[in-house]
Amino acid sequence: MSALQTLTELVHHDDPYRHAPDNLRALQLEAVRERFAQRRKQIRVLEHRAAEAKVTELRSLDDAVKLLFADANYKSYPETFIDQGRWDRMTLWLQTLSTFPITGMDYSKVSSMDTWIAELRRNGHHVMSSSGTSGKQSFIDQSESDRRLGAYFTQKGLAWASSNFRNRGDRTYPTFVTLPSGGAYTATERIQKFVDTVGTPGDIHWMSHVPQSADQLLKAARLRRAMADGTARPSEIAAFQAETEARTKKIQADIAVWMDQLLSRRKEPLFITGMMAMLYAIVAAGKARGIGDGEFHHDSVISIGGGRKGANLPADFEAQCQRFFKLGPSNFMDGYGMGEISGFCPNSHATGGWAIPPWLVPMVLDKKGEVLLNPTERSSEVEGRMAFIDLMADGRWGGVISGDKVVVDYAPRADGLKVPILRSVARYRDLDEGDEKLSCAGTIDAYVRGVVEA
Amino acid sequence: MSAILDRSIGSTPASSSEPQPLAVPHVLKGQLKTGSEVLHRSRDLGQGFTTPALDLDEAVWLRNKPGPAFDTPMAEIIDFLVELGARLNLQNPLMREALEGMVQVSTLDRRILSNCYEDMGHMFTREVLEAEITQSLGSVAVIDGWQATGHAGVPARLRAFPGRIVHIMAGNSPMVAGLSVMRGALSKSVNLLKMASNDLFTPTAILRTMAQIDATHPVTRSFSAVYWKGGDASVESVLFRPQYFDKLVAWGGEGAIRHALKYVGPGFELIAFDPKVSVSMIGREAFDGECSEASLAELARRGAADVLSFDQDACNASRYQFVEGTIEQVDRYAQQLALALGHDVRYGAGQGAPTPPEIREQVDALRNLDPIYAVFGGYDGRGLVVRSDEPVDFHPTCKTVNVVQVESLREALKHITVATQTVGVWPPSRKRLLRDGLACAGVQRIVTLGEVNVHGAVGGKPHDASFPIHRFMRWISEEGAEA
Repeated sequence: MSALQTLTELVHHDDPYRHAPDNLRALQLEAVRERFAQRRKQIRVLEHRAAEAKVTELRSLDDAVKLLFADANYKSYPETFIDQGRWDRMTLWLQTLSTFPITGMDYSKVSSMDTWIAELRRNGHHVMSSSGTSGKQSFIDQSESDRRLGAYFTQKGLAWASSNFRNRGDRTYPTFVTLPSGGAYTATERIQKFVDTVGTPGDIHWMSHVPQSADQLLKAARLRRAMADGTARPSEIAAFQAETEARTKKIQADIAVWMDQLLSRRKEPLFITGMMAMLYAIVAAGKARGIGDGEFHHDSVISIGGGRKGANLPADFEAQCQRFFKLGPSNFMDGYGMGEISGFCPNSHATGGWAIPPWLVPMVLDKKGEVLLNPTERSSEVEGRMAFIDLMADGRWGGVISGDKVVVDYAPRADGLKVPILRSVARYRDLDEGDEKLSCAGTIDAYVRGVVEA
Repeated sequence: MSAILDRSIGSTPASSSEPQPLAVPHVLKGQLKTGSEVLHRSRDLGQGFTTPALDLDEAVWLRNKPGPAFDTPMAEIIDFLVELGARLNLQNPLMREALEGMVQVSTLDRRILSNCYEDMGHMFTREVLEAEITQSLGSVAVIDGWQATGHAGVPARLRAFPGRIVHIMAGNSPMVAGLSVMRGALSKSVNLLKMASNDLFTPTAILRTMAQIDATHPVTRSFSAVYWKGGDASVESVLFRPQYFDKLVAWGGEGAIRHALKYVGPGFELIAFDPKVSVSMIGREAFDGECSEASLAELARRGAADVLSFDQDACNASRYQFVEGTIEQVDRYAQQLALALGHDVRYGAGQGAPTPPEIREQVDALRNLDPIYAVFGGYDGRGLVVRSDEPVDFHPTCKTVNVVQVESLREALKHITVATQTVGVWPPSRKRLLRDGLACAGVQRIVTLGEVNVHGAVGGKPHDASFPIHRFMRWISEEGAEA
């Protein structure tokens, strides 16, 4: 069995974190070699990148540093393609980042971004788009297998971290999701598929029902550009602002109803899933209603991800969440992940870190993302910029570099873990690492007031 | 115990291998102040620096007294500045010392920094100073005293009265410090210079040189240069008040301007030298006749000179070049431009830092969309050119140029916005045809291609579509019959 097979088989193990092979790092390097050899023939941008960096084979993981893709890669299409409705060119662009050929596209059915994505899906390319609150959206190609695995990983990770969930038997839960429903091609879809398998039918509650549409995000981006080049009329800006305000009000009204339902059913075993920042919103709303700590049913399961995501939260928000929900090994899963990788790293209660599955090859780089930092004989911990090579990524190249500053412990030697763990996570751009470097050079962005968000 | 409780969010202590922090002095009203009470970090250089503690009382000139130079005759100020200018070069040990500090905090290399220091004296020559003051104010008399005017029949006396100014400096070019001192001195104002972390040495070197000439001179006593971390509310919320300053002059840096806006209000005005983008326009005449590779290379050298301004980290550095011609012609130019970017110019390096990943990733994507896009040069810091038929949607920087093929330069006007500062045009005869259209769209300065940083660009010309010294003044009238 090849190294790649050995590691990807572990996907089906109930506890890959304690049953990883002893020679994990060596196997991972071998598996990365296999994946690279395979993908460089399939993915044009990877092949170009390798040629540019003169990487023909991976002698060590250091050679892979230049092959990592940043988020910017998945939004590197020229916006004029979209403005001019050149969906064929958008496909051409997506193809340069995709493993499998995109064929069979019928452009007579494509007249917008939503229909372009629908047509791609019809042809087996389950494009995932960032929900992009501002700026450009990213598009990440997923194969059928990627999509199936998404829900599967969620279920496995959750069972590993939460004993309530692991031992739930046939139980389904009244489910509360801290996300809007119907983001057909955003990360929401992964959760949606999973929620359908654990939620009690008819008792699944999404935070709001204001649909997220790619076209709507696009409209915002277009208006922003029109504002920049001075062609937007005041009436257009006014209309858009009014629309955005109405939408925000509707979302807020939906959330208020959802919050009431959630809090009033706290004595039942519930499944609550979504983003960390919203978990705190529940705590704040509960406290405002006079609900005390520890009132939620002990058989509930709470599954979150997303970290702080720049939200403006009190310093002790995590401790407040912990007390309010009595978070612990029975009821809590906190995943570390990102849109570009398969699955996530579930939290390990014993170590207080996140366990990195054997098929995610961790790479800790210097802040600039140029040099691989390795554990030394003195310390098994490495601090720097998080990157991964995701051996399971099917529709795209699995090499990803993040904006996160982390500490990875390559030998936690605790709780039987045989995989590295992440010990801390922060985002570089949230960190105050020094002073402003002032320059008179600028961009038009400074001249467009009011971030137009959809 | 839950994982979320144990997460450490924040930075970790500096490792012991970091170099010793640099000592940055302050200068207050002609007095040198050293000390290392405050440790600061520098994000871009990974090196910390120390400054003396800032005494807020020393940083202001109280309003109950006129500023030291308010009544100093202009002729005397110009004489002093000419003497200062003669010492602003590398013969001067203070400037040499500043250079050694700058090498450590600036992204510009030693050669460019040296050239700046050697050339800085030019803006203190008598003809530049005189041009600057007369173009800005109309006459010297109106700043030296009260000038009678009888317009519209009402007799009045006008005076351009000196102001109280705090300058938030940019550090991407040492010339910013020279310009700020020159204009601040000519306006006779009191001036607090807030240094940027990428130029912690030029302002104090100039002020120390002043003090060396005459520590008690009114101009010397009208200036202070200090550092605090931009946005530090414990300093800015105290100092940025109309009781201490009339105007805040902010150079670029959107963040700095947004911070400053919090404090702008009645009596405390913002003069913003906005963050800007610059472009070039090349007419089809470039390809007329035989158009040898040699002549195209010569043209590309002009195009490259404007791109390379302060390593393309300046408001006047060209980022987009609109070229009239066929794809083949435009590609020939783009090819030559990529080569020309590899050669040093006076304020720009032929060998720069490698192309940063965020640009590389965008360009990689476009490279794969051949022939819609074409890419010339490489990621090695010697120059990168992307040819397209619409401007690219990333910000070309770090020696990256987007050459945009256009049918006519008139068509390129639609890409000019309120953020566009300088346009370099070729051939020179096209400037006249384009200037009204460019100005209407937002452009502030039109030059011949290759002359963005031409010697003599400073002096008597507007900056950011106005005359800064005119704006530094408080224009006062005394009206009616005199007796």
